[in-house]
Order: sequence, then structure tokens, then C-alpha cells
Amino acid sequence: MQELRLGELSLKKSKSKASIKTIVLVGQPNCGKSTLFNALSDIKVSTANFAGTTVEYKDSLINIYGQSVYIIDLPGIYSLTPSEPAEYATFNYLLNNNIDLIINVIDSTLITKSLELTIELSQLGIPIVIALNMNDEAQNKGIEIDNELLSRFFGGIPVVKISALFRKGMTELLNSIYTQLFTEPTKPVQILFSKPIEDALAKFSGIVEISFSKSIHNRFFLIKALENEDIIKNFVRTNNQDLYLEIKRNLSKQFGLSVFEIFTNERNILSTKISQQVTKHNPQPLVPFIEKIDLLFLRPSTGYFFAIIFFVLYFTLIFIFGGLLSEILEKPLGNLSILIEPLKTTTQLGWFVADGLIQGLLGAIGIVLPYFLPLLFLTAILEESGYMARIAYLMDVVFHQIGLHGKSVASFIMGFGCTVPAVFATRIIENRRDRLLASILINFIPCSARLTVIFALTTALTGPIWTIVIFFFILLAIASTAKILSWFLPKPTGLIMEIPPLRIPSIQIVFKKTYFKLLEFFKIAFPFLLLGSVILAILEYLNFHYFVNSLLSPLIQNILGLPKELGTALVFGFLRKELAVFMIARSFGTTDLHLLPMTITQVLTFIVFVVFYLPCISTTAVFWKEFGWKHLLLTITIGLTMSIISALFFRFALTTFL
Amino acid sequence: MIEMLLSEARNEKIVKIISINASKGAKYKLLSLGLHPNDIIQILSNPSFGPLLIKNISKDNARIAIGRVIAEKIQVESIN
Repeated sequence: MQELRLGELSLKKSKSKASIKTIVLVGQPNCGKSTLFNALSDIKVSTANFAGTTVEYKDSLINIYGQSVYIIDLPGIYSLTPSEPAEYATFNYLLNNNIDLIINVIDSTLITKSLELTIELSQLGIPIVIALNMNDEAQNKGIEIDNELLSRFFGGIPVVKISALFRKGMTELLNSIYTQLFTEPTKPVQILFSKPIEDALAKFSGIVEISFSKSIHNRFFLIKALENEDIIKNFVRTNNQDLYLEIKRNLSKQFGLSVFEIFTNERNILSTKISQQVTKHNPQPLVPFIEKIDLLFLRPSTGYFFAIIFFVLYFTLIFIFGGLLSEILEKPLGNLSILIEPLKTTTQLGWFVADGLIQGLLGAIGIVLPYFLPLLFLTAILEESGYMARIAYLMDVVFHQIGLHGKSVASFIMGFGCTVPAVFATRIIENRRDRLLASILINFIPCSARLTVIFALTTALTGPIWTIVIFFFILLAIASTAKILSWFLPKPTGLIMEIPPLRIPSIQIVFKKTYFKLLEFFKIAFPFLLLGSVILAILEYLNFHYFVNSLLSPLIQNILGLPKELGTALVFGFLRKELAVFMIARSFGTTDLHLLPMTITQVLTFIVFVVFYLPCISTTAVFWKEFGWKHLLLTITIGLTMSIISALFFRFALTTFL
Repeated sequence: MIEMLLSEARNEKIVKIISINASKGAKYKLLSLGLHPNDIIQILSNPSFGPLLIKNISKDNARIAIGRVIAEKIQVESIN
């Protein structure tokens, strides 16, 4: 046997891609799929987007016993009846690509419910390897799985026990993959449903035309056409619509259930039957301690207490590490401006552009990144350990009040770092209405740039009490916007969410997750930050601010009651929110914020206006890409309305009471 | 055998699911998470407000959070 070389990258990827075999990892969410992918593809991983969507998948070229194999990690999917955008991506990928092998990753501790998906996957007729992941954890829970018997149920496809986290069983898994790809592929046998359904399928197959070029079994389309025709209607055409409807009606009558329920019910019965035969439950040594602790986290009576502790810790850590990083990074970047000093006398425009670039770097790397990095890292830990699901469960009550449910929590938390990844994080929300609402509200969450504006100005000019007032006001604004919007939107669907077990997070996965999120930020937000900064510098060179200030003065002077010099600050705040602060100082020709000629009322009015008025240019770009221009316009309109109302409120409330 | 709504079942109680009468979308979601009629479940948390937490004893003790409005549409019967 050749030496095993995991993750070795073949450099000939592009040359011979057509002949390279494709493997996909498919499994239910939280089954450890990414951990396995990570173990299989140690070195070179790239991310790409699914055509027409922005859901990402990860792929890599690996080397198995001298053969290059293309491996893809598809988003988690509960069943082949997709409901979330990420599930649709997996479903469509499975249908529309040439796949040589599916690795069905299963959380061994949840084998019964996982087998429902396995049964569906076996209907596709593509060779499968079943990877029973987290086998160590199952054994600790007293669950023993007979993998050979399980293999026989599916017609002899390989079933391997592994622990991806501890890299156990990997050699066996690779051997099975190799056999399935290069020696003798075993396709899964079709597991039969009960007789009335098989009869209906046989009858249906006589009147149906399946237009599909890839190597997917016709039986899959027959089943889906009866079960849920919407998701495959492009591929299936019947030449006898009446008979088709009659077959469905008869089935429904026979079972007293809707056709969809009949099929899920059948898979449920089959998977329970298989699972009962292949698993042995040894008496558990003791009730797991961690489950008792977990109930303390989950039950509201104690859960909120722990949640508060965790979040105080979470934000304190972000604050401490962010501060440290910021200090380390800001100095050398600040020194860069010395390098361009000679330009000041030779080429003025050149100096402005170079200075803009440096200021951009300073903003992105010196201010946003230091807080964003620990936020990503700690959020990855919260997600990987499963604690985020506990927060989502606890926060559902609050989120329900504003017309959303607990699943949006992760994206809201991310919003404190940067709005861009927070908007991406809404992809796990299944329904469009909730996603729309969540993304609009995320725009009001103070991101690190908005926090800079708030902290910098309140610390210098008004004192910490007003920082707290502003925070409460923002919360109030989010809640009331949500309340008003939900009058116009259909009713929320309510929370249905699996709560995965608490697990010790894999540090490697946490690092990778942080890395990919960071990369995303650099790819999407960073160029805009730099570009914005350079445009700003050029405009400044052209003395653009006189024009802007007089154009915006009706809004700024008359409505908001602010000095008209702040016009430029607002324009540049669109490019980068925290620029608004630098620009105010610059407009008044000072670098010391304490010296700004503004009253407390004016400062606070300005802050609330800047927090709400427009999403920054990077967020705008992402909204456009993710939701289209209509949604973008709606978001901007809501933001502008909110900002003017809030600013007026502060202006008049404070002038009355101060 | 006492029939009731899932939302009325108290903490620690073990019940059997009789029927799920929620909206089509909610029903699909519950079924795909492996919660089916006839499953035996235990109520882990049923606070006065907010979603319930249940453990599906028939399906590997998988835990599922269910919004209160949806739980009000799930018929169960007590078995202990």
C-alpha cells in the first residue's frame, strides 16, 4: 500500500479537472461535516459561491493513494425537502452536478433521525460511503452501532465508524472512498416503501416523462413528484394530469394523511426499524454530567443568569483584546504618514491620495480589525460549542416580541462587529420575511465603526451617561422599527430549531472559521474602505466640502440644528462610518475632539443621525448583491426616516430639558 | 390517557405525539427534524413565556426547541 498523503495538493487541478472524480460531503447540520472536511483537506481549501446565490461551499483537491480527488463540503441539510436557502443550495448541487460519490456524514449519537436523510440519499442512485462520525461520543453514551449490518440494509455500501475530531478511522474511510471511486463502486439498493406506495409509484411511472441528463435514479424523481412536486417540477412532466392527481388523492385517502406526510412517515418507520436493528444501547454508566449543566443553561430560570455572565465575559474579552491589538497595529500604520511627507511639497494630489490610502488602512486595520478579529473568534467558539443555540433558544422570547425568532440571534451578535458578515449570517433563516426583517434591523446594530463614533464623541464631549442613553435609544429604535414593520409583513412562523449537544469546540475549526470570515471581510468590505478613503482624499483636494456643505445645509442647519460644516462628515460617513468622527474634527480644523465647538445636544443629535442614516458603502454593496435593489431602497428609506425622527427627537427633547 | 396540547404539558412530563396541526411550513420543518406523530417525547422546559424545549425519546433523545404558537397546535397524550 502506498503511503497515505492527506491533503496533498495536485497542481494539475485546472489541466485535468474533467477527469478528476468528485466527492461531496452531505449530512444534517451539526453532524461534524466541516470537521471531517477539515481532516480530509488539510492544506489547500478554497471557497466559492453557488451559481446565482451567495451561499458558500468549500472545496479542495486531495490526494488519495496517488489519485487526485475533488472534494466538496455542502451546507448541512435535514432532508431532501429543502426549506432554508442553504438547504436549497445543497439540493440543487446534488441534482445538477456530476457526482461520483456521496459521503453521508452521520452524527452517531443521532443515528435514527439521520437515517431518514440516508434513505433519501440512497434514492439518488449515486454510490455512497456512510461515515458514522462522533463514534467515540456515541460509545460514551452507551450506543453501539453494528456497521456491517447497517451496510447490508443499504446493499453493501461501505459504512465506517470515525471520529473526525480525533482523526480516528480515517484510514478505513479513505480505503472505502478509494474502493468506491476507483475499484468497484457499490450503489445503494433501493429500500422499498410499503405496498400501497410502491403500487402508486409503479402506476405513476407509466404516465411520467423525466427529462434529466445526469445519472440520478428515476425513482427519486417519481417519489419527489408525488411527495413535493414543487421542488423538481422542471424535470418531471406527466402526460396524464388527471391520473396523477388521482394517484395522489387515493394515497391520501388510504393513509388519512397528506402525500408529503405519508412519505416522511414511511421514512420515519424505515429508519426507526433499521436503527433498532443496528444499534445496541448499553446501560449508560451514569447520567451525563454535562446534560445536567446544559439544562441549567437552557431553562430560563437559570439560563439568563448564565447568559449574562457569558456575554459580559464575551464583550470584555473583545474589548481587552481589541484594545491591545489596536494599540499594536495603530502605531506602525500611523508612522506610514511620515514616509509620504516629502510628497506634500512636490505633488499635492499625490500626497492627498497616499494620505487617503493610509487613513483607509488605519481605519480598516487599526480600528475595525482589532475588535472584529476577537469577535469572530469568540463567536466561532460560541457556535462550535453549541452555546449559540442556547442563546437563540433563550432570546426567542425577546425576538418574538419584535416579530422574529431566536435563529436570528447569531447574525445580530455578529452585527456588533461588522454589518457585512452579519447580513451573510442571516442565510440560516429559512423564510424570506424573517430574513428581510432581520437584515433591516441589523443595520441599526452599532457595528465597530458606529461604536467608534459613539464612544469617541461621547467620551470627548458629553460623558459616559450619554453613552448609555444612546445605547438604550438604539435598542428602543430597533424594537419600534421591528414592531412597525411587522404590521406590514405576514405573521412570523415561530421557532423550530434543533438544539445540538454541548461539545468542546475543535480549536482548528474555530481558527478556520475565523480565517474564512475574516477573508470574506477583506474581500468585500476592505476594498470599499480603501476606495472610499481615497475618494475622500481627492474630494478634499478639490475643496469639495464647500459645495457639499452648502448643498446639505438645509438638512443639517435647519432640520437637525447642527453647524453646516458637518455636511462633509455625513457624506464621508457613508463611505466609512467612523470617518464621520475624523471628518468633524477636520472640518473644524482641529485634531482634538475636546475642542469641537458643539453643544451636548448637537453632539447627541449628530450621533443618532450618523448611527441610523445610511448603511456604509460596503453594506450597501452587500445588500444589493444579497437581496436586490428593491430591498436596498427599502432599507435606505427606513434608515433615513429613522435617523431624521431620532435626530429631531434628541434635538427638541434635549433643548427642552437641558 | 389524558389528551392535551403540547404547550400545556409540564416540565419532565413524558407524552406521545398524537397529531401536528401546525401550518404546512412548520409541519415540514418538524418532520424533517425527525419529530413525527407517535413519537414519545419528554418536556425539558416549558416556561411561562417563550419556546418549549423537548427531548425526542423515540429519536436518539434529539432536542428540539418549539415556539409556543406551534406547540399550541400539537396534540399529545400523557403516558405517565
